[in-house]
Amino acid sequence: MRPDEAKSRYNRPNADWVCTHVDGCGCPSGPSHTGRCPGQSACSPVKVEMRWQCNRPTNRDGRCEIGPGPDGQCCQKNYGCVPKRSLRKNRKIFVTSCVAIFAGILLIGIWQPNRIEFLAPGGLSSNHAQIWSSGNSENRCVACHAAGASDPISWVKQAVFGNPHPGEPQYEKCLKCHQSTLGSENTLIAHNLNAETLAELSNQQVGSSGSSSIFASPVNHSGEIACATCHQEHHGANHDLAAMTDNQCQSCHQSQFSSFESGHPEFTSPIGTDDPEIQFDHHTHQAKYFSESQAEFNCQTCHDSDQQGNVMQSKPFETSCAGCHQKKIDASLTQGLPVFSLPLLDLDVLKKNNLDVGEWPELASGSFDGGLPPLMKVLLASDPRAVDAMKYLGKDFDLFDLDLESVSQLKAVQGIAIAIKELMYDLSLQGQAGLVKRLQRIGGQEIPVQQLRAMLGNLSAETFTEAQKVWFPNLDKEISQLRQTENEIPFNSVLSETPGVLPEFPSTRPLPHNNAKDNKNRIQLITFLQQEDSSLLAENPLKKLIGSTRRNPSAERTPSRKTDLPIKGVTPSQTDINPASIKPLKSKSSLVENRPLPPILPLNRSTNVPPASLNPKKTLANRKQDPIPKSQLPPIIPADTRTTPLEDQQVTDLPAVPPMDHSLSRLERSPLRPENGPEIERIANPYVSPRQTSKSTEAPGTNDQNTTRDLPTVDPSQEVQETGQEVQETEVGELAENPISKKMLQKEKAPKTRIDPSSPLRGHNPDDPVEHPQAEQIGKPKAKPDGTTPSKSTAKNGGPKSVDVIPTQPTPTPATKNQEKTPSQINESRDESASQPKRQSPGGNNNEDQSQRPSGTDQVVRLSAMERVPLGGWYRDDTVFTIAYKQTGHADPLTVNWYNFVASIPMAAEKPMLANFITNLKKTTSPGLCASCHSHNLTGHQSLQINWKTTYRDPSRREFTRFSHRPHLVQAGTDQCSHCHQLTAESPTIQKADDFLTQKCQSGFKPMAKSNCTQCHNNQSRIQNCTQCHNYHVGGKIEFH
Amino acid sequence: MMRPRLTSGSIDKRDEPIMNLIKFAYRRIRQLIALALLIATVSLIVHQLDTSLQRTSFITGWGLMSVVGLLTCYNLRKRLSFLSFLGSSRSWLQIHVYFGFLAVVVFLFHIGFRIPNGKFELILTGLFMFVSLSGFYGLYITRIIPKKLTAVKDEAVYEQIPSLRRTVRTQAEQIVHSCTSFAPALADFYMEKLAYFFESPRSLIYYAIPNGRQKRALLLELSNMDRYLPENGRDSSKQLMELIHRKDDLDYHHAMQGRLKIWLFFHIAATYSMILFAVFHTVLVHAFHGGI
Repeated sequence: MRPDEAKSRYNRPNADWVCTHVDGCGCPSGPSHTGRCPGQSACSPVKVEMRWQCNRPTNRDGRCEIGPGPDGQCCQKNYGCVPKRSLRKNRKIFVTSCVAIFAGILLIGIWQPNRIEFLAPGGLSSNHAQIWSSGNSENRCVACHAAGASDPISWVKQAVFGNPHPGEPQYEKCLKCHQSTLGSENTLIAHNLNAETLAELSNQQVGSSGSSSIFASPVNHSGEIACATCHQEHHGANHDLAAMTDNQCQSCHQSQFSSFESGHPEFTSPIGTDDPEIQFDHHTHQAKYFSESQAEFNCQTCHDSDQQGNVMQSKPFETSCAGCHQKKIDASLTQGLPVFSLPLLDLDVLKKNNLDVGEWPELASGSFDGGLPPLMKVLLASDPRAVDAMKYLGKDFDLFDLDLESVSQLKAVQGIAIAIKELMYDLSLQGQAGLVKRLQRIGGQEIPVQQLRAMLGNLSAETFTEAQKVWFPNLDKEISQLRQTENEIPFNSVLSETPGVLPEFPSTRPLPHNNAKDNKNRIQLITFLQQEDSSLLAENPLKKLIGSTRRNPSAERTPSRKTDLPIKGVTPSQTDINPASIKPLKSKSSLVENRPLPPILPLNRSTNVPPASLNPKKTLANRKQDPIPKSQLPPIIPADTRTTPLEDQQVTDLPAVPPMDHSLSRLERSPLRPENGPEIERIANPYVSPRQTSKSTEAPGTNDQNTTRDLPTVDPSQEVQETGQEVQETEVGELAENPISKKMLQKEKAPKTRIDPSSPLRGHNPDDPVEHPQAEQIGKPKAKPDGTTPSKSTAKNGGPKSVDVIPTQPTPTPATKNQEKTPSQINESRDESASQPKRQSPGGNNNEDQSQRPSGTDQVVRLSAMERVPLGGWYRDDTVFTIAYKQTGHADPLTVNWYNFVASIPMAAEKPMLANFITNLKKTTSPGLCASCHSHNLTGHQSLQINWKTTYRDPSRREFTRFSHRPHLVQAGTDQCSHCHQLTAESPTIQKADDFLTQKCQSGFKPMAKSNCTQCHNNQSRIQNCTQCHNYHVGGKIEFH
Repeated sequence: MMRPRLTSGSIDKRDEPIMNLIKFAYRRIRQLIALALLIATVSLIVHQLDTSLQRTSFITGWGLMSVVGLLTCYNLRKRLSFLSFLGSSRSWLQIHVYFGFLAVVVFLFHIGFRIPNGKFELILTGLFMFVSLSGFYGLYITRIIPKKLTAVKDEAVYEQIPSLRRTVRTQAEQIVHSCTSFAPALADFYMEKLAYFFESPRSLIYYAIPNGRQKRALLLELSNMDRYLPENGRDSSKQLMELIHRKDDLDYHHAMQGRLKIWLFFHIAATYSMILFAVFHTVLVHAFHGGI
């Protein structure tokens, strides 16, 4: 007991109960802790020795003076105090009650079934609204939180002890839905870059300033950062999940600046001025070409925005460029794309050196001349024999330059020839499959089917088969025997590897062939040559080239084959050749001086006499003096008004690009030359064939061999001058650099010879520079300044492109023809005739054909092999022993895919078999002039990537920097392209050269500067935060809604 | 008259209140500066955290929990007197006040200066805001009411006010009984007007807005009655007037001291409720966090 309790009362505000006896009755102890008033039991008298005594304690004033009554009752009145709770106690109760209420609210909220609604920290953004509205409430959290599937007890464990949830972390749940847009790799790494790239970029950006934050970025040891670090949800539907402040960007980007206007570095990449994929000089086009043509240089003419309006794109070639450039491109495509071609081989020289190539077409034999088409070299690249030979001869070899005294070179030629025959063998047997096999072997990898399909261009399986039947009838036997013996002696086992020293080229094992047949063919040739009229040779400008070659007029001749045949060839007839009459070519010099006539000079089959064209009176020289009256000539049908079937339509676009080397020398020897007479006409036209002969047999008396047809007057030279002028002008300088082209130019500048209209070859005029630009060379003595004939006909311009009119000439009667044929041949020709569609009769000697012609017309338009595919496609030209493809025009799929294929081969330009292809692409005279506009890139694998199309930035692909034209084009001032894209004051320098690949072209625009943007994006407009133009996530796809 | 020179060694007792005021002013300035620096530090830390892509809400949340815990310790310090080595209760009150301000700032950073839209978090935010506002109110009334009570003539302990009221009433009854014979009008007036005033508690309006309107009205009526009273009756009237003043002062004390005690009811109740919710909020945040 405290000492003062007995004397004074005091308040006990900290006690739970307080006395309510406010009048100070004297209750010094106050209520008990249970709230009872002690005054109620203040005195409980006790009976001591028969007397009641007071027992009130001293702290309650002690014993009273009166004492208890006789009944033992206390004399004092009861205090009557009802203690009440103190203020403190009440506060405690209130606080406890309130906490209990809120705890109850919390427990109810936690354990209620719809607890998600209560505990969710807020609504989801509109992008994730489907999560909130889908499924039951229990599963909503599980979509993003593994803890959503647990109970509150687990939540406590999770918070206290870590991650007891077996589920996947939240970022993996995020990526489940967003992987398609963010990609699968490096999604959690900054900017979705791999660690190496990020480190490299970071090292580049480490500059003067340090990190902007004293805290490290919340990345783990792998450099990954959680999605929720930036994308914080549960802030309502309108919350921008992707919102990032500039400071957050600069947490990693240490080069700091205050705003885009103030401090943002100037654009480093020269926007709009870099080397474009499609090299187009805007400045020159505006200042020169468009102004000269008085056309409006309007951006919208060639450019349009994409569907979303984000990217301005160029319109297609047909819309934007074709108006000016289509003509030139078409002119460059007039020669087609030869895939297979036979060079001219001097079999005698080879024979003399004990080098045999086996069977070789007569028309393709003579003096060495010609090269291989680039595409063919590509196909031969899979043949080690050809590769070794090419290494020896050089990647741009031409057989004309062959040193006839060099046995090694001759051996290499032999290897080339055998490789060619093996190629023909493979392709004839396996068709497309063989081609694909070779391509894959060359490329060293699988080629996509789509690309292969485009490269083959619907190549018929019969193309090479038929060609083989015509060109190499006994190829199967030869190659099969060769390959049997090849295993015994490796072909290239003896090649020297000493640099700079040409080894002795190994001799190829001679091809097994039918020597008797070969001799027979040769005898046939010599016999024919002996049949030639000596006077014809005297008049023939190539007489000097023929040298001492004599024809035996008495020898019966049969053309070895028909030229210009469609794919369905005719089996060449065979005649005997006197081997003794073959004069071997001695050397290159002798070749130049005594260049022989083309070995194939077919005779008129019916008369067995030299064709009329070989008559000196009908030579080219005489044609000028004997023109056909114009009234007797059939009209020239304009190309655009012709209604004949497509395959017979004439292509009026004149050739502007010189033909390939191999075709030139072939043309010199072409049976279409005027010297070759009407038989050549028959050969050149596939429809004057044994089929017609058979038809004549079936309908005797219908031939009209004595009918003289009126021929039209054609001045092809004029046509050439008109249509080919543009290309020729542009290529004069280029061709002048080439010694071969120089000769061509000299010849082109020479006066053009007018064709004798009476000549039976008038319709297929070899002198026509359009049809045969080399005809002038052929028709004239090839005199050099030193008096010798030109060493090589190397004209590169022109090609067979004009209207061929079949002249009236005597044709063999069916009986005569049949006399020359064996019964089996006749039957065969009948069958072919029955199977072939009926076409115009070129010779006019077929009544059936004549009956099909419109009355009053007696001329037949004959087209060359390539002209019969004016819309593009494969064709075989037996006149030049070529299988080629006629491009369909700009962006021809076959051409594009072949270029892509070869360019994709690593180090293709260094490989001898492929270098020529690449070189050809580089030439300004390449078919299609592709590289004049389409630039290229050198890939990491040392292969070329040709930029066929402009690569626009993909607006759906997230890149570091984004820009959309759409909001800018609706703003006044920026709606004009020139607001930002300003042309330079002067035209950029364009390096025009022979090599397109070294040519650099600039777009002609000033580089875009930051000042273009800060006019609007500045501190005043405040539209200049980092994310205005930059993305964090790079590489993923944006889903447009 | 020259004021005595203030020295540390000998301070005139007359100048002691002034010196206390000066000390108080300096102390408040110091504490306000400290508070400003503390808030600036927190702002800088939050900015740096935000710049470094750290989860600001995590850091500020734990910081807020720490501050709330510190504020709660003030109550513990008051309860546990043996913790006197941790400082005086007065110092803890100062800490409680200034860290209360800091807690509000941290809370605003924590919620990102926007009102949460989840139900649970909305309740938690409401509780915190209520605690904060009740704390500001308590700070206000503890600074204002003592001055007002000091201005009152009599002082009374809150717990003794009922007893003092009873004493005043008893004295008033004794005065009235003594003058019944010669001033029955005064007795009638007491029974009609003053008995209710002395016996019954004041209205809730008075507790809400304490005023002297009723006191002035009674005194006016009582003074108007003087002309009807004899001389000795006028003395009794003056005694009653003093008791009226006394009773009104007690009522004023009761009302004002009641405020000082009642606001704690809500402040403490809301504080513990808020702590309960905050703890569970922390559990939820860690259980549902989306970090790596």
